[in-house]
Amino acid sequence: MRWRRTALLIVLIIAPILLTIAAVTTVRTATSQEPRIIELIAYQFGWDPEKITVQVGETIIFRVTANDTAHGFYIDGKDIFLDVFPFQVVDTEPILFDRPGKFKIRCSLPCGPLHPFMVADLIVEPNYPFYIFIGSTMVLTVGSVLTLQKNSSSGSPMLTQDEGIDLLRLPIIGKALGRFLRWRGVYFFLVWPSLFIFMIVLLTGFFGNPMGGFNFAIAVVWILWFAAVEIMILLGGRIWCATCPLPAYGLWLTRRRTYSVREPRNELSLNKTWPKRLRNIWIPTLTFLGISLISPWLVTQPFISALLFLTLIIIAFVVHLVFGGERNFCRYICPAGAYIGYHSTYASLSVRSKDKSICKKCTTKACMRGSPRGYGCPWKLYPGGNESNTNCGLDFECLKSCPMDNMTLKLQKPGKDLTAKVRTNTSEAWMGFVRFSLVIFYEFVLLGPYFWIKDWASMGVKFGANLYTAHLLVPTAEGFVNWLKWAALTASVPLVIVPAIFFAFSWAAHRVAGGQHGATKRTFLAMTYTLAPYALFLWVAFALPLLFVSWAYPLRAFSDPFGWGWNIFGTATIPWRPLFPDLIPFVQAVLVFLGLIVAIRITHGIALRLFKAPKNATRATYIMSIFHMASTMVFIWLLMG
Amino acid sequence: MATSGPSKLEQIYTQLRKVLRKYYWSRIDSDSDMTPVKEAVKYVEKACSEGLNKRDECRYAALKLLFSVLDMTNRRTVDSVEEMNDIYRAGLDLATQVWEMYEKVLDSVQKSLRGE
Repeated sequence: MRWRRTALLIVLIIAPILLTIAAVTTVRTATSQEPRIIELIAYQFGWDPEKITVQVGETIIFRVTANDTAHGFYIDGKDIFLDVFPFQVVDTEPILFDRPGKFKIRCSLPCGPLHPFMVADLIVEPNYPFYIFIGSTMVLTVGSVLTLQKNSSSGSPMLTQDEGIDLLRLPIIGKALGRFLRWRGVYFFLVWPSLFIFMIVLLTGFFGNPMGGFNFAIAVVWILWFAAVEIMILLGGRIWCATCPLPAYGLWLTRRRTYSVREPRNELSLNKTWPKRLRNIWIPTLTFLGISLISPWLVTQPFISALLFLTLIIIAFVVHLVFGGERNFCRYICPAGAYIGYHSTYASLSVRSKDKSICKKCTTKACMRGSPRGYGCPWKLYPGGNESNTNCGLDFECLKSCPMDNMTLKLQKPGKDLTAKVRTNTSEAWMGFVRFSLVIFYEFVLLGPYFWIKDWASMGVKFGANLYTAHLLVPTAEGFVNWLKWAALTASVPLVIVPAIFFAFSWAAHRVAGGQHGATKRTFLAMTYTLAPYALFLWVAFALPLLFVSWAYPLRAFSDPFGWGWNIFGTATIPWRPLFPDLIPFVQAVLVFLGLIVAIRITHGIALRLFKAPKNATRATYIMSIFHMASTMVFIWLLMG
Repeated sequence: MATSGPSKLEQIYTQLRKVLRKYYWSRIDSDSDMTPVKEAVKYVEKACSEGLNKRDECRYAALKLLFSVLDMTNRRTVDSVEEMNDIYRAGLDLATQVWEMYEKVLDSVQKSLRGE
C-alpha cells in the first residue's frame, strides 16, 4: 500500500517534467525570416526592459548598451558571452529561441556589489513549462491529500512511528563511527577546520577586496556555506552546529579546556542563570529578520559580513563568560542556530537513547549532568528522554558520558519529530513565518528582475547610497525613505501579513474539523510546524542557483582569498559559466513539489494528533493544503512565470 | 531497652563495601583495592575547597567512583542498570558524607585560627 502511494507521488512529480519535455520538443514553430531587434540597456544593477517576451521560433538580435560601467550579457541556455563597455552599442548574433519557457538574462562581467542579482527575465511564449507546473501543483495537492485520506481510513500510518536505523550498529562503519563520536576530541577536530576558514573570512572581510565577487568572505560564506547549510539541514539537521566556530572560543575559555573534561569543574564564568523570559527563540527570530533588512549590503559587502561575524563571536564569548559553558548563545541568540534547529525537526539524523526504559531507571542522569568522560548536555537537554531535534546540537557529549552506552546516532523517519506530539511554541511559529516569507521575498527581490525593489533595499544607485561607492555614501532623503518602505514591507510580511493569512486558514481548518471551541490558537500554532519542512525545501530551491550559477566565485576565492591577484591553487582564473542554467528552474520546481508533498503529509499528521478522527483530520488537511498549494504556485510563478 | 542502630557513616561504609565487593573486588580478585574510592574522595575535597556546588559535585564524584570502577575492571560500560545505580548511590552517599565532614573540618580550622 505504502509503495503504491510513493509510486503515485513520484509519478505526479515526474509527470510535469515529462509533459514539459513533450511540450518543448513538439511545440516548435517555423523560424521567423527576419530577426527581431530588441534594445536592452544594462545599468547598475538591472536591465531595461526588465521583462522581455518573445515567441517560440523567433530569432532575436539583442542590441545592448551600457549606460554607466562595463557590463556583460549572458542568457541561460545560450552560450553567449558579450562584453559591453559604457555607451557602446553591441549587437548579439541572431539567437533562435526554439524552446518555450523562462530564461534569465544575466550580467557576466562583475560590475559592482549587486552584480550577482543583475538579472532580467526572458519569457519565450507560449510558456508551457509554467502552465504545466502550475497545473501539476493542483494535481499534486489533490493527489497527496487523497492518498493520505485513503491511508488514514486504514489506521493512521502517520502516527505509527518506527524506531529508525541505529547508525552505530551498522556493519563496519558503525563501530568506527561510534568510536569517533565517543572520542573526546571530536568537537575540537570538527571545529578547527571551520575556525580556520572563519579566521580567513574575518581577515578577508576586513582587509580584502571590497568587491564581493573577488572576496573570500562573500564568495565562500554567501554562496558555498549558505547553500551547504540549507542542504545540510535537510540531510543532517543540526550537523552545522557541531562544527560551528562561533561559540568555540567562549566555550573553550569557560571550560578552560579545548577537549578534555576539567576537574574540578569550576568554569571561568559568572555562572548566571539564563533568564526564563528569554528561553525561546524570539531574539534570533527578530535578529534574523533584522539582518534581512540589510541583506543587500550583507551579502555583497565583505566588510559588513565580517563585522556581523565578529559581532556574533563577541556576543557568544560574552554570553559564555556570563552564563557558563552551556550553549545559551547557540540556543537563544544565534539566528542561524535558531532556524537550523527549527528546520531540524524534519531532519532524519538524530541523537536518541537506544532504550528509553534504561534511561527511566537510570539514577545517574550522566547525559544531563556530565561524567568524567563527557560534559553534561551543553544544550541543557535531558538527552535520555529527548524526542526532538530542535535543541540537540549534535555535540555528542551524551554519547561519551553515558555509563551504559545507551545513547546513539539514528536515522529516523523524516518529520517524525513533527508528528510525534502537538507542538505549540509561539516563537518557533514566528520563526517559521519569517523563514517561509523571506525565502519567497528573496526569490522575488534578489533573483527577480525588478530593479526598483533592489534599489529600495540598498538605498540605491538612484538615491546616493550606491553600494559601489559605499564608503562615500550619503543617501538622499528619498533613498532613506525608500529603504524604510523596504524595511516596513520586509518586516510586516512575515510578522503580520503571512501569519494573518495562515491564521485564517487554520481557523477554517479548525472549524471544518470540529475542533474544540477556544482551541483555535492551538491549531494555528501546531499547524505552523508544517512550514518547517516546506520552507526548508524552498530555501534549498532558492540556494541551488547560487551554487549552479556562481560556483566559480568560491573556487576563485580559495586561490585568491583577498582578491589581490593571487593564484594559490591555480583556480583564480576559472571563467564564470553557469552549470546547466536552463535546467535550474526545473530542479527548483521539483524541490518545491517535494516540499509541498511533505508539508501536506505533516499537516495530516499534525491534524490527526489535533482532531483524532481521521475524517476530521483529512478535512483540516484539505483546508491547510490550499495554503500550501497557493504558496507553491507563487513560488513556481517566481521561478517560471 | 532500645539499642541504637549503626551510625549513618557506618551504614554508608557497609553499603559501599557491599557494592565494591559485588561489582569491583570480585572482578579484580582483591578485597582491599580502594582506588575508585580514593579518586572520588579526592575529587570531593578538591571541589569542596574550590567552593563548588555541593549537590552537583557530589553527584559527579559518585560518577567518578563509577567510572573508576569501570576503568579498573577494563570495561567501557556497566553491565546492568542495577550495577550502575548501586555504585552511583553508594558513591553519592559517600561523597555527600565526605563533603560534610570536610566542610566541618574546614570550619573548625577557620574558627581555631580566628581564636573563637
